[in-house]
Amino acid sequence: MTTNKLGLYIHIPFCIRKCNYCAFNSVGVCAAGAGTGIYGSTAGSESAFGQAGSANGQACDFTEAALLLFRKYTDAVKNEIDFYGRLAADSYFVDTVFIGGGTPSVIPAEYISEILEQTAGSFRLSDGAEITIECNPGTLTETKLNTYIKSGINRVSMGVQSFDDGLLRILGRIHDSKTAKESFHLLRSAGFQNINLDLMFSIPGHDMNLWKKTLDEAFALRPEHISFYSLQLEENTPFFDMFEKGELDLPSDELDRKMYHEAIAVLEEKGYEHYEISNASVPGKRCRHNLKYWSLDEYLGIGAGAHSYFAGCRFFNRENADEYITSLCGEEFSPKKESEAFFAPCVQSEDIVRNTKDDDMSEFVFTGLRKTEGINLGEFSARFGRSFFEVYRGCIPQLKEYEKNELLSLNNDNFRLTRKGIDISNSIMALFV
Amino acid sequence: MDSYQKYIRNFSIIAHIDHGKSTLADRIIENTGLVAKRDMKEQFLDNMDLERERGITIKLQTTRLAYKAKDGNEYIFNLIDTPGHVDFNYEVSRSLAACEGAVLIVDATQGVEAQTLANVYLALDENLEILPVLNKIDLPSARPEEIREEIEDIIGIEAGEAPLISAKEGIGIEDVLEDIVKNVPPPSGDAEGKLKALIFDSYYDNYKGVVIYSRIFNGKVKKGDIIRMMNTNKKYEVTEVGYHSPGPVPCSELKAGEVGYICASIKQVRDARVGDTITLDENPTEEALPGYKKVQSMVYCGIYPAEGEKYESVKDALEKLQVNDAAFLFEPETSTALGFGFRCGFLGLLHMEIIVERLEREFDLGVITTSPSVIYRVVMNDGSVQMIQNPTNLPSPMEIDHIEEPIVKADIMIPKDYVGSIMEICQERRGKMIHMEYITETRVQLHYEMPLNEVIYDFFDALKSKTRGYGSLDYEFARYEKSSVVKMDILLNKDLVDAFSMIVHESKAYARGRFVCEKLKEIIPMHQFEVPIQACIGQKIIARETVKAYRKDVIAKCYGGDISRKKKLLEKQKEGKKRMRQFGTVEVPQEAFTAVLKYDDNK
Repeated sequence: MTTNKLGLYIHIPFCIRKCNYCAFNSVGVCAAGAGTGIYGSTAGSESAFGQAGSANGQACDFTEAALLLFRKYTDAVKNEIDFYGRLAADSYFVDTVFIGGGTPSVIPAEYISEILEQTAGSFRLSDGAEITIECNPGTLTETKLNTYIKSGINRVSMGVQSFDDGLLRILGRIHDSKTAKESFHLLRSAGFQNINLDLMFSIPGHDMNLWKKTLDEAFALRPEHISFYSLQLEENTPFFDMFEKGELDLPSDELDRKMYHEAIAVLEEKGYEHYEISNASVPGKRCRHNLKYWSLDEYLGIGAGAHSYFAGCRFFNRENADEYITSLCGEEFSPKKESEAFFAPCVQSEDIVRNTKDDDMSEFVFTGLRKTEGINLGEFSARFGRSFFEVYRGCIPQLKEYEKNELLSLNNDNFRLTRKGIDISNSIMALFV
Repeated sequence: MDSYQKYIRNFSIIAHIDHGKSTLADRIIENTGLVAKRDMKEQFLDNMDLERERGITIKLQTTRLAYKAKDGNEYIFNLIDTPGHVDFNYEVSRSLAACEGAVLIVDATQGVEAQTLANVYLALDENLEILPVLNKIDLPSARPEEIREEIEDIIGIEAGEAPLISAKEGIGIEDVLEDIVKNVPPPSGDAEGKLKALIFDSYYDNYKGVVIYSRIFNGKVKKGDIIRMMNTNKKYEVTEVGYHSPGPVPCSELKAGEVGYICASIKQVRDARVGDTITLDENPTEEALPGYKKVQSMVYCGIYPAEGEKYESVKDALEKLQVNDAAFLFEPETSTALGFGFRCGFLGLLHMEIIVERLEREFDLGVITTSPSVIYRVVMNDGSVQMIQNPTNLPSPMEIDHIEEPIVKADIMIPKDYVGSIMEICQERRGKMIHMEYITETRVQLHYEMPLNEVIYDFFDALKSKTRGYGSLDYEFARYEKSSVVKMDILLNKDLVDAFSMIVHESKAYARGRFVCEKLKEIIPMHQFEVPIQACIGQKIIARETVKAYRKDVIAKCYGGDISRKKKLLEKQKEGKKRMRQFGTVEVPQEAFTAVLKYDDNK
């Protein structure tokens, strides 16, 4: 029996409402009239700005239809885990689980428990596996968190984004800064010792002062982990439309980079390690699950639209939640019948790509360069049986040029971007695709 | 006149661009029953896609048609098409020389235009019978009576009987055909005399070699004859004669008065030059037909493969194009910026654009073209003369006594409301007005003398833009004239990029330098460092812009679901880079080369 490590990503595509910048696969289940009206809304959308996070920790009550959808979705997820467990449990053990979204904390906590029970039942879960759940301020209660703890979750990633209420409103977040802090304290009192806060900069209307304040407030909470992202404009988002119309007042690239480097300066001063372009942690608390993405390690994506890199293939599930459910819970689905198959029925054959060795090498390099420690060239040769310098012979002069300009560092053992290099990392990474 | 000649009509159709020449040709072909209607591609004679798209005829096609006239006789029509652009005037004149008559189409909504006149003059030079026809009478804006008068006033030919037609709708075509029968004189010439045949066009066929289009003026020619080109003195054995109808139909012989094709295993079209006279080697005629001219390239530019490794493919393609185009010249050249490429000579700007487009479309090759240049006559201190068409080769100013540039005579026809603005753009382009005449109450013809380098730069675009498309231009070489032109160089990050060098008039250098720098600033992407763009004459900087260094090119989030998408993004970025040219440390998108030449309305 071999002992390959496997990461599981489990996608919960539901949110109270969709944020203005968000292009992720998620459905706002409380926003009235946003094409998701069937889920209805009782107290939701109107009060969503700023005053969300009512006493019971739920920004809105869900309709019967929404609750039924959560139930069915949970069953589908469990079926998919069951499927892959039968396929891979013998040769893999799971050492990280990441429940992401969407906002996984909007569905009943018991469903999360069920999913994790299914995981433990279908796979071998390693001791000390890192099990993360994403949540948003204003969706948490003490009971919910206790259920999470009991089901084995030991890491929480919270989408705070900013501690400025004005910016939160611009982003279309359901919470305010006070709620964020309250939620953080709830997490701590429930016993979570590994918490990440997501922060965002380059928000329309952002300036350096506001960003410094948010950084101060975030670090004052002493989270173990911080992710800090420059706002990315994605198509099919309200922000994108506004941008197209010229209504979005975005900070300049210069300011964006200043904010980015300010964040690094502050976190280093506070004793955090900057280990990936947008991630930092106190020593020993790097996110092991996310590191897999940057190390060409295997992971299975469970849930609607989730992506996998598994057994040399990249593939992803049907994105539409209803179709996803039907493919896994429909009449024609039986785990037994499917046991011959390699991909779960929620994967469409056209969404499967078998990586060539070139693909693998290129992904290993360009994702690996996201890590501040870069890539280990000895590991490269060991994995691919060829030396980095031989494979990318043609790029070496260009790399030397970049090195001269202090954008990267390259020696026989290690290749990494410098801090200056990170700012223009795409042009360096593009050499390897 | 031999009796067979009585029933032959050799004619061309002449018109201003867009006045409906190709459409009428289609109708004539259709109405004589040569091609079934369902087989008609629109505009039959324009058989290159490019021609059909641009609505202009570049390469001639000649067709023999049979027409049963109202007098009960069957006539043979040789319809000789002419290219419809000012760049190809010489070819037009040779085609016309093969005819006895010309159908002159005038757009009944627009009237006489510059090219209408230019073509009429060419036809009159050949003593052709001119048959005016008013086209587009189906349009509500047609003014046939006014236009009739216009034709009589301006051209001075009788137009009272001119058929009113709509080539598009097929109205009045019969009238045109009868008009041809009645008014185009039949050919003459002695079929038993010494062979005298005019080459008015040719094309290359993979199997037959060069196919010559010829009009026999005297004598006859058949398979097995040894023919001689009187101007190049080359000899060939005829392998086939025939006519196009519309595909090639071999026949036993071609005799005086007829139009057809001759094949003689000729390898290159330049060995069968348009305008040359064919005679028999054994029994030659004493005198060649008049009017032969060796075509002269007027405009030159560098053509470089967009991807360096495509050099051989570009060379092959240019060779193939040249086989069919005697007016197109090329030779290898090297640029420090662009590497290995070719210096190419063209009749004019349109000719150049056509060649470049054909390279891209027919051969699927990406090419970079450098600033077009005219040929300068450089008189050195020691009195020797150099003809320079590549700015890079301009000798040092210390050695030059003076430079002369080609001046053209330009005839511009415009609606009168635009006179002011057109005189302005002519003046800006160093034009000298010779005179101005009111052709009608509303239309004006301006006669200018203008340096050719101004005409090829952006004059045509400016004219079209300022007159909302109503202006038309015709030009021909006049002479060389002493001029204060200088070489302007462009430096990118302090490095000279020779491909951007151009020869400009001193008075225009500052404005041009500023324009090029501004354009390049728009087009050159941000680099990791500041990129100064400078225009200079010798050591003197005359304009400067700076492309700021970019600050941010990074993907903030890249998790499990993002990897494939981000990879595509990086691939796209890399692809974009491929289309860039690396000049020293600076990457320049290929469109930069054309962008600096474009007419800018806002300027």
